[in-house]
Amino acid sequence: MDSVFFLVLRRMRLPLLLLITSYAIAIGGLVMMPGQDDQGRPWQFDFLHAFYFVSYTASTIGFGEIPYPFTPAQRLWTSFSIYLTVLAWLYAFGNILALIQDATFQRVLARRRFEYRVRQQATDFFLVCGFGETGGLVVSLLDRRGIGATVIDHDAAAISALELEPAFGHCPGMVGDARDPDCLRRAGLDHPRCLGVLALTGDDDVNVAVTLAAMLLRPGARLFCQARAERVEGRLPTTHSAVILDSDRSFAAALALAIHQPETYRLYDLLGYLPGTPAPPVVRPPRGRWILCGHGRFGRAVENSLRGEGISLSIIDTNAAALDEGGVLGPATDAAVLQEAGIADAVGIVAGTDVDITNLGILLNARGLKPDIFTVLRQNQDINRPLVLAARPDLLMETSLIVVRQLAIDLTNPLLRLFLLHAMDESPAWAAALADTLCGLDEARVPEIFTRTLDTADAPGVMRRLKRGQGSFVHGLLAPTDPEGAALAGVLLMRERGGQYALLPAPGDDLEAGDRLLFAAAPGVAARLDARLWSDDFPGWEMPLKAAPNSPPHNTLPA
Amino acid sequence: MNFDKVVFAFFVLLAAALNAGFVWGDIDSPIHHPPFELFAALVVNLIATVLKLGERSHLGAVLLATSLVADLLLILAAIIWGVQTHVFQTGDAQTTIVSVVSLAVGALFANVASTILLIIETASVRR
Repeated sequence: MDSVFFLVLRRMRLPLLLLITSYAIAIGGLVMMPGQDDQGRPWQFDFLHAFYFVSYTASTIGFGEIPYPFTPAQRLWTSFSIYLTVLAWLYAFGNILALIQDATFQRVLARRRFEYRVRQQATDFFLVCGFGETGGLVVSLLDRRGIGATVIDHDAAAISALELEPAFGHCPGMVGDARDPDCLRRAGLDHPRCLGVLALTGDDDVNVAVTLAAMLLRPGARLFCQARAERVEGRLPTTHSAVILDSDRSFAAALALAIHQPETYRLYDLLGYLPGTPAPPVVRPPRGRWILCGHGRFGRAVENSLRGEGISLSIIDTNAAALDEGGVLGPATDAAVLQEAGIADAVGIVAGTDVDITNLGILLNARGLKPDIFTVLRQNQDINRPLVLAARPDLLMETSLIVVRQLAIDLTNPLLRLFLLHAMDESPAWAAALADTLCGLDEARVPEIFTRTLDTADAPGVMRRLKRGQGSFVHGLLAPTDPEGAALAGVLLMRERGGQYALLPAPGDDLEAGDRLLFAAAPGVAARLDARLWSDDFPGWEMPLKAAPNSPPHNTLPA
Repeated sequence: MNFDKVVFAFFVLLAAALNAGFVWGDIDSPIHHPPFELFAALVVNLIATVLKLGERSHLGAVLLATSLVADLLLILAAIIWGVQTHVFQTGDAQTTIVSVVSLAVGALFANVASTILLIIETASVRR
């Protein structure tokens, strides 16, 4: 029993009263009116028949005058009661309809439906605050990985979009203020299957509030906070465990890596992309002097990264306050301004303003003045994607997608983050060879990344082998089923054993219980690998060692 | 003086009063129990029930429950009377009037409880 029910009952009082009194008057009067039977003898309605008559008259069914034709007195009373009862019914009916369609009522119903669906969540899920561009991409990502989501957004249109699009997996969404802890609770913050909170609204203040609330109300949950301004770092307590998703800084770091070590950057880019998409091409941003257009937060982040690589910069901005000394003031879409910044001897240009159309204009302008300049384009909004793809920049920064890709790594394959960290220390040749191998797994598409742990849950067959003392080696995981066949199209990227990490373990390395293995493979390989991990007599374990063609260089690193 | 409260108390008491008036008299004598009075008692009881809808307090919930009990019994009494008279043609039999009145007595019991609760509610108002 909650407020919805009481609301309905209260509003129903007047219509019900009108109905009862109109019926009472009509029936009572009809019983009293003098009538006549077919022999002319006086006859009067009794209550049962009067009730019957008034019922079918008030509902406008109108069977007729029963059981005998009416006398004038009865007819007079009937006319009066028609107007009384029919109008009472119409009024009551209209009232019920209006009540059902009432916005408050609907919102209360929607909220109850939402809470019910949240309670019924059977899979692990994340609480997503903010369903804009980034939120939408994140929910699709989670849905593809089999993780659920519950969504809070303050805009009703966004929640409607959530309900309509099948790509979002029909996850429950509610309209509300994410800063309100009650809203967070209703969206499932206390639910045992809630893995964590993603604060992805466009307002940093809201994101910080959500993260703090989640820290206090559900310690131990995984927290991700999107940051668009400096204020976020300073507002969270220093001991926070939230992951700050900062697309500006992430991109700036990636750009610096691409300049410093393009092969490693390619590996990083490849493994961070969504599986199944075409593999990104190799990019080699040149060293030399660069022009940076737009000195806002993104521009400053890029400036810091590039100066860290020893790149000299000319900075253009339309706002004098944003420029330090030595910068060029003016719109970069103006050819004269570009020339003043020295485009003639610049090797690269970063179009990093807040407006996509401006950035596109800068890019076209720059290409017009120097056709072979390396172009970096910042895309702020996903709707401009067709324009951006047509412009074909050398390197594209997509604000929302960067966040999504960071999340894709963090949420689904924490080992991948460690692998990428360790891979940074490897030589460019190592990275290039591995990247080539990975591209070859699934016809130049990004391979799938997944983790398997050697325990009784993931790999009972292997556990039984190990218990029996039979050797199990790395090469057996992806070996072909018969000596003439082809190996599985996959690569064992990393093995983690008790805190020690080994990148690309050698085929002869043994497997132990408790190992965590990170794989990159073509679609479908995961299922076949699972089949092997579950069987203890898979012939591949006994296969002789055979070096696969195009295998990347093997090495073992202590952590 | 609160108009809503006057109306509410009026109908609750009127329901009890009409109910009492109907059952008063020999239980097996039809003269003492005019059908019009049962009709009036039923209508006023329904009105009193509607007035009790939508109360969130515990007392309000119990009041509504008593009213519903009274409604149920009176409706049953009316149905039995109608069926016995027209379907089985035994409307004038002693058993008919006894059944009807005994159900109405039950409804009176519920109405008395309703009245007592109303008195308690009134007495507990601190003004």
